[in-house]
Amino acid sequence: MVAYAWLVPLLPLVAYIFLLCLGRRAPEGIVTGVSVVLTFLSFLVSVAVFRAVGSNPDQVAAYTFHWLTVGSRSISVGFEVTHLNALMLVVVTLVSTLVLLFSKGYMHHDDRFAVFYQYLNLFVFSMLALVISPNFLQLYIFWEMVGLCSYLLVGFWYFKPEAALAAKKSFIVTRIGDVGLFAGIILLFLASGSFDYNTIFVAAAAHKLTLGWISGQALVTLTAILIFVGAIGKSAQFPLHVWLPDAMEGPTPVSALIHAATMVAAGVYLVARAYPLFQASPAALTTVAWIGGITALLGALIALTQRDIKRVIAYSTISQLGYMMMALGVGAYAYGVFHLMTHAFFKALLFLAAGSVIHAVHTQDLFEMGGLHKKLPLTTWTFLAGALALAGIVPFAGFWSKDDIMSATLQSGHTVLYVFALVAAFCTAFYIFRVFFLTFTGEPRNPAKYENAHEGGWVMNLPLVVLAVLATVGGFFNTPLNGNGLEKYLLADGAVGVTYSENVPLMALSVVIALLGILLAAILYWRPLVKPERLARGFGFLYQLSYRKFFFDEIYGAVVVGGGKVMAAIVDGVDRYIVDAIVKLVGRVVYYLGLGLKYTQTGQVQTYGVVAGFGLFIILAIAMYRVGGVF
Amino acid sequence: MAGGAPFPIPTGSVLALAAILFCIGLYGALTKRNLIIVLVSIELMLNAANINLVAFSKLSDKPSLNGQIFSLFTITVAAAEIAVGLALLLAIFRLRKTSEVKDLDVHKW
Amino acid sequence: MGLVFWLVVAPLIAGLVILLVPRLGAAVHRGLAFLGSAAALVLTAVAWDQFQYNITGFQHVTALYWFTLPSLWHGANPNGPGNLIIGLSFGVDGLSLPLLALTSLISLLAIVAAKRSVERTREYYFWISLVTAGLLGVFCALDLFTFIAALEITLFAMFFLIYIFGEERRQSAAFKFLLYRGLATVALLVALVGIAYGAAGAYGSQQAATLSGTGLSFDIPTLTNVMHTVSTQAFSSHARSWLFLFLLLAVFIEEAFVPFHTWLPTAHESADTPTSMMLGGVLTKTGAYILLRFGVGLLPGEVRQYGVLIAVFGAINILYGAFAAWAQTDWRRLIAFGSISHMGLVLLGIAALNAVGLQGAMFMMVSSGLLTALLFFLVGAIKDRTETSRIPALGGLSRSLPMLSGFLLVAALGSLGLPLTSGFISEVQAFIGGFDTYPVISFVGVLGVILSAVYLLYAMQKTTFGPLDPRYGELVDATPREYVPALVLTALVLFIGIDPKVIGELFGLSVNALMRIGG
Repeated sequence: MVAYAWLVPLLPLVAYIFLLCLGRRAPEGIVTGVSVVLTFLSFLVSVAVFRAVGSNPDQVAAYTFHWLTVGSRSISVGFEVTHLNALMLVVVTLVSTLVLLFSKGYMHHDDRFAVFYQYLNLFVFSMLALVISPNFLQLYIFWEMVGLCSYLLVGFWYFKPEAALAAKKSFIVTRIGDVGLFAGIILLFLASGSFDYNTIFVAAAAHKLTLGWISGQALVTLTAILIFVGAIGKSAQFPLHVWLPDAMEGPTPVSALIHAATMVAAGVYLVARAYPLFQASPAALTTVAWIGGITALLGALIALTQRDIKRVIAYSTISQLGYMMMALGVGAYAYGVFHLMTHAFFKALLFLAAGSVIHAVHTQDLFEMGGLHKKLPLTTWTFLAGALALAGIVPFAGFWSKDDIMSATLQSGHTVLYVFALVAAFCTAFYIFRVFFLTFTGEPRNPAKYENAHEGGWVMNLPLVVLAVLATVGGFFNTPLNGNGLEKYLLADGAVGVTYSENVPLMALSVVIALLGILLAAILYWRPLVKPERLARGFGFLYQLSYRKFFFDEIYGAVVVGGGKVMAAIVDGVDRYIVDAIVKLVGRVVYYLGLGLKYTQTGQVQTYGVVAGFGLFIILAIAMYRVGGVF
Repeated sequence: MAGGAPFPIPTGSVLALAAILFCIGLYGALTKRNLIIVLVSIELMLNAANINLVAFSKLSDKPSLNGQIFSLFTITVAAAEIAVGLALLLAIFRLRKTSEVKDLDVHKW
Repeated sequence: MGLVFWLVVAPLIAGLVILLVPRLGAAVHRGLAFLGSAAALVLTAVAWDQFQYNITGFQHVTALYWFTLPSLWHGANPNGPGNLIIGLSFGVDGLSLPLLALTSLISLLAIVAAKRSVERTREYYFWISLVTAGLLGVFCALDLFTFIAALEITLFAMFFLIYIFGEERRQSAAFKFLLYRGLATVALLVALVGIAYGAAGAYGSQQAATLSGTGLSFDIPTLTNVMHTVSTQAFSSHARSWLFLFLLLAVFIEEAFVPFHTWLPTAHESADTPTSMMLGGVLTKTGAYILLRFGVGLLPGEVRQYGVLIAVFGAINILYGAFAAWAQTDWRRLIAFGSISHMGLVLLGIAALNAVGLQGAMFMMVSSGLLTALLFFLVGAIKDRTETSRIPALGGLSRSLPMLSGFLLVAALGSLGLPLTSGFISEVQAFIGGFDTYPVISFVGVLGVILSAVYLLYAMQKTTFGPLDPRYGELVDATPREYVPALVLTALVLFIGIDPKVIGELFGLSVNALMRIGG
């Protein structure tokens, strides 16, 4: 069965090509039907592969064929199945199927409906191909391809200037990260002779990675950090997180699929896949942990004050990705991946539910919503499930994974990071329930919009229900109650990372913190005992800091973009007025020389005669005295 | 009779005479304003060359008749050339109403 | 008369027929030019098909003798021939074959892209055919005389194309083009003839010259072999350095490397679409070809010696080109500077002087040629409709011109090196080579990858995204005359990106040959 893993990315590609041939006027039903069916088949194959790999730990395999010869070395492409990516295949195909189904309702009547599905299928293909890549180069190829699909989908409504700008920003900011990944994999190729994962890891472990100018531990750290820079870009970690909130300009299914469950998780996947390299460099792991921790806190703090429902969830994604990175950084490989899985479920759920709300009331501003639980009951309950999972309340999925991460952080000695995580957990519970209360409870703030609100059809409700179920029970893949099954499964790939024993007091502490957050949200927004505006004014500058996203966009805009534009203007100026001027100068010099010389043409024959005679005299003098005669 | 004249003519003086005449002619050709005088000066230069030719035909190491014969050629050429020159001069005078050299500057910038 | 000879001569014959036969009419002129280029393309395909991958050296060699210059240099080996044989010789190897295909294909597509409204079609198609023949001759010349003759032909043919058929300020642009590249040809002549003399022993000690054995020859394979074994007594390194610097000057001007690049944006601004396609797509690759064939082939030691200088200029080109492109407001100047940026990467790859870098440089030549031609073609199509190629004046074209905008997006993505396009294959190989030899310079150069995304996506966003400018609401999208060339070029870009082996094998052969000689 493992040998058929190549079917998994192939089926969405077939869907893409089929939709391309059908053209943009294809009927919505066929478009959705083909996409969903093929992706669901991919899901079934993934499940089969997952089970095959799980039941027989030796079933990991790689199939490659030659792609290009460079000098004396050969680069190959193909696919590879490990425990890690078998799990990823299942998660990606499942969430993709549900989003493809959901989009039928959300994008109904859009006149580029078929194009949207084409892009989505292309994305699913690229993401799956990324996951089963057997070497760094193929991973990089599909890494950029998912970036492209993200660009196309964020800018789907391209006639909106904000969407076009957001698409450009997402591509360029992730490209900054991609350059790091590019340099890193090239250095690894030069040091080890191959892009292949296993070759590189074996060489790294045996301290055999050397280049002429850097070797050993320094080289491993450098390449690991360069690879992590790529992950920072794609997974929207600090300081390259600024693209993700803007990417919310894209349709909500895009946010659910790409910017919550899959593409942004690619960075986490990359670090996990390259984990043996990171393990060889404690400095790199520390960097990962700290960046993750800072991101977790930063995202949570900004999410506290945002007004747009999608932006809150976007910052939440940034924060949760920070948790995953932090987990990987402290050595808890399995927990990071576990959180990736549970997060995929509940975050996709939250986005789709938000999409259902937006579809109902045609606004994204929290302060125009309210009281929607009467009009949208299903959405309310599913959103609640997602919120509880995100906040980390037992027994929802998020609790198990987040708690694993936090206890691993504390137990590995990173106390400061643990505190960050704990504060972030409090904020997480607060902000998500702020959204819940503002959206679904209380009185409608905009009666016109409220009146027309209604649930989407079954195509939108089914995915919500499925994801809500998964958000509720998904945690049970890896709990002490069932023997930490996922952990054992993942660690069968090789002894990566460390595991920590459960610690009940810590678990209790995190639940209490989360409940406190929910309580605060309730006090402010459900049964307001304190007016939120007074609290905001009380916090003064801190509130502004959070609301204005810590001014990252402004700083980057001025320094990076502004600096770049200045540089470009300088170069253009140099080009036009210095380099080109020198070229023109040469021409001018010759012209003026000619202009000066024309005065020798007096038209007087006698003058010519005098000059000629004089010249003849000089020649004869030279001939007589230097050469010795004319003949 | 070779060299047996009442007194031998020193070669240097003859050459000097030719050189002086040549220089006078050159000076006249390059500085005179009137076209006719320029033509006359050119004639002077040609005759100076003739003197040289005749002198060497008698006073050189191997005296021969070649120099004198060649001077006949030169005289003929000079005559032809002055005929053409005077014809041109007449045409220029009819066209331009001037025979000043400095007025003939069509090739000026 | 071999295959390759007819390949070069076919467009030339077509051009002569167009020029000399009276009263043929515009359609016939166009058709003849098309046939000439098509014949060249077909013959290239045949040569490709018959190419044998397991033998070294040049294939399909045709040598035509013209005359001999006897005892040209009396200082040459008195026992050996001092005669210089002048003639034409052509042949192909792994490097020239893809470039020949590129030339004939882009020439064909340029003819298709030419507007029906061109007046003076006789001269127009004659000059285009002449440029094609000249470029084909450049890439398969096996003899210095043939090479320089072909280069000169392209020079003045392109001059006339810009001078007569260009747009605003065409006269000054054409003259700048001619004089600047004329200077390059002078430097090239000095360098190449100097190398030929040096290989015969003119710049070494007398004794070594006697021992060198071969006489004066302009034949490129012979020169390559001699230069492989010649010692520093026979050809002093001082002389070689000077000759290499002349060669480098010629290359820098021909290829429009900073700081000798200013003729290129000016020429592109003033040339019409087919001329720009030929200029940007093929003519700007001759410099890199010279560096590979004569620099790495004949003077590899000097390439290594000046490697740091070349690599630094490579990085400067990448960044200068990218920054300047960002600041441009005209699409054509932007594409020109983008091309300069790509060629900087070629320079870096060659400076690295390892198999990967050289192969990457070769890939980039082909890739950049295809993409530049495609971009100029699309911008020309847009300009036909909107009367402008200024970026601030355009907007929202995806609404009214979806097909053209789609092709433009693919072209932009190829230019910025998205994987699965030829741009990525070139970049990754060139950078692998660069990082191997000059890691610090390559780190600086790799920032160009970010910048290329910036300027291309900025231009795309302004042109195709955003609200539709009302002036452009009623435009007609691509006609078959327009989307077929775009489709062909796009397909090739994607094909090379997805399956690079096809061209990679050919380039690999050439790289192996160069590296064996270069060490």
